[in-house]
Amino acid sequence: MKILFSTFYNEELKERIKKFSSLGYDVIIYNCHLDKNEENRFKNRHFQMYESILNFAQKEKIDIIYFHDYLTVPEYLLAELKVRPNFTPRIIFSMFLREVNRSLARAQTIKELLDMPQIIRVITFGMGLKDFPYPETMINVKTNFSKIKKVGGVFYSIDRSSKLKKNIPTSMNDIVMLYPGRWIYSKGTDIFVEATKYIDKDITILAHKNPMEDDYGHAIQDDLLKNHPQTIFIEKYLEPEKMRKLFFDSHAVICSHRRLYEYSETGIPGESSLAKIPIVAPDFNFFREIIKKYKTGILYEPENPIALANAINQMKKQYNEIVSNAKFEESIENYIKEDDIPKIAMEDL
Amino acid sequence: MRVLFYDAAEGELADYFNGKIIREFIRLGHIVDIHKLSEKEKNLVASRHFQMYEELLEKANKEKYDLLFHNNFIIVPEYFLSELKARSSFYPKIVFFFQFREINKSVARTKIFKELVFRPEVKYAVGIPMFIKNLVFPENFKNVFLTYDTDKDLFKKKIRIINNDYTEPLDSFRDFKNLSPHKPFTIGFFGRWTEVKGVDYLLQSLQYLEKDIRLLVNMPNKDWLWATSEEREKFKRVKIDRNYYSIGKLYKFLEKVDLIICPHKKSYEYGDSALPAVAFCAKKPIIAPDFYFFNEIVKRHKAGILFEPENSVSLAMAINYAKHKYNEIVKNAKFTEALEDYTDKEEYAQVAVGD
Repeated sequence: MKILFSTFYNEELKERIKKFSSLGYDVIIYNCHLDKNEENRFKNRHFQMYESILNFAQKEKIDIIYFHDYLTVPEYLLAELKVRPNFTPRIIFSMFLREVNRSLARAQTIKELLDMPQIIRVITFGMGLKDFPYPETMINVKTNFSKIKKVGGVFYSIDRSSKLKKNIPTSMNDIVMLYPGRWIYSKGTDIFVEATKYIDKDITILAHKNPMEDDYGHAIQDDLLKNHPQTIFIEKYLEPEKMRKLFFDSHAVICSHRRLYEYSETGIPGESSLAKIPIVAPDFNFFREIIKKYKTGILYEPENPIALANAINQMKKQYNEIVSNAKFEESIENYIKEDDIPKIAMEDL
Repeated sequence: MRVLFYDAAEGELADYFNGKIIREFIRLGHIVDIHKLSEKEKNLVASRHFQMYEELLEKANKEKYDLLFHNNFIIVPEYFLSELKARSSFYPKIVFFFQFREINKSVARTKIFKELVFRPEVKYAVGIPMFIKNLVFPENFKNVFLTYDTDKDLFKKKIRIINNDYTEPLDSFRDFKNLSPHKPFTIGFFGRWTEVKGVDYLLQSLQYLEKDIRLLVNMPNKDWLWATSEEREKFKRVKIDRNYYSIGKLYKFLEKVDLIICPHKKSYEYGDSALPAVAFCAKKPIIAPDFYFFNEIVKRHKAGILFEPENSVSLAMAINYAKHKYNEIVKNAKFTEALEDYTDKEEYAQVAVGD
């Protein structure tokens, strides 16, 4: 069987491609980086981003296209499939449920896409929950769930014999709270910065900023320092292992995600549990289900900076109690290694 | 008629031109409310997010406007269509603008656009062909829209074509001084410095230009392709004009240059651009890629030199040639005639009101 492995990335995928080959498939890599135009289309979420790959797959008589990258604009894929009534390759893709949950219009598009005969499997993720609920939008449009395969959560690697040591605070005056990742609108960095006006001044904020995507510019960093001088900045893209070390060096993690992020996937709950540190997170799914089930943190009213600040202060006050009650080990049982996704995707096909 | 006027653009230029359209709606006896983007919507639009139409359609429907006047190009018709399909009832009629280049990109896109145009909620889809009268439609457009007789009827009913408007008030050029060619000969680029406009080819072309030619750039975005002093040294014949030209003052930039460069890539075919119009107001020729609409404008009005798109050597040769033949090109160009093909903004409201 000929599989077309479509990806936007150049490196770090060798293991996964090997997995495909070891399953007995003939794997061809389709890399958008090879074509500058194609690369730009993907970056700009341009509608043409599926045109070339579908043409290529049909011409090369591919059996299955495996989209490694998450499907962010299903409208485009659907439109391209609709103008190809005789398209023979089958398609597997991954998606985040938050992309579906955004509106009824989007959910209907997903339903229509799942009803296309070429789509044979969709992988979706639960931020550490295996049997997670589907968003109401999908239920309302009567989505065909039989093609969807749920994965609890994904780690780049799970190295349980890690030499990383947990940084235990000697007193509550030394507590370090991490704010990690990209500073973008949907992650609510502005809400977090506003909240820092109201948090205890002796908390150390370890503010990591992944510069690959930035909706705010440098002014917001100045605001953060003004609001909370006890802040350490790291503005750098960090490889997964280095990122993991930041979690081990911290005592708690702050999530300021907007409601837009409901039903989304993020590595934060998993990485926090690996490092055995609790999180402060907005009260919506999947944060809500995870924290209620495993007691790994504190919830607050989403998009409310005062509520976030109160939750951060509460985390400091009740830190030892929260950590001793949290079921960190249990919460990471639903995670798999990223390289194992192809096997799961191809199961029973 | 109650009109909900929507425009995502901000700033004095948008206010000036939108004011003209809104006043015309009022003069014609209609009531106009303006919808501005919320902070959330701005972010969604910036990331080309599908939800960018959700809030607007909700408001128009809930408040039962008779007409939703979408005074921007619909750049992602897939999103607009899916939002309409998800609404069991939608009261207002819609008038929106489109660029032919967005439709011409693939058969899939053209079909989506057709589905959108023929929705019952859509009153008119208004195309802007960069001031070309007697437009030659793109192939996809002809194939998908004009295949069946029934479509042709609907096409006539729903598609309206408006020649482009001026992007600067025309009378602002009354103070303009048209000088002899500068020393050094100066080519100009203004507007957003983005890849789709072929700025990478423009930079590559610099190495093939005669030594006494410089490039003057005026752009609203702060991004620049180089950051290090080494890179600046490499492109030292490029000067950046950091002035902000308020409305009616852009002629001051035109006074500093001898011609305007349109280095656009092939994906801009059938696209709309403000550069030719502003250049012609100042009686400056353009260097433009040899594809529609640019080539049609240059050929009809003898108003510039064409080059092979996405070819930096060809672009440089065109600039060198224009420098040597500059006086002849300017003398033969029919700038005034070219500008006669423009439409005043007031006509936008008249088209939207329709019959």
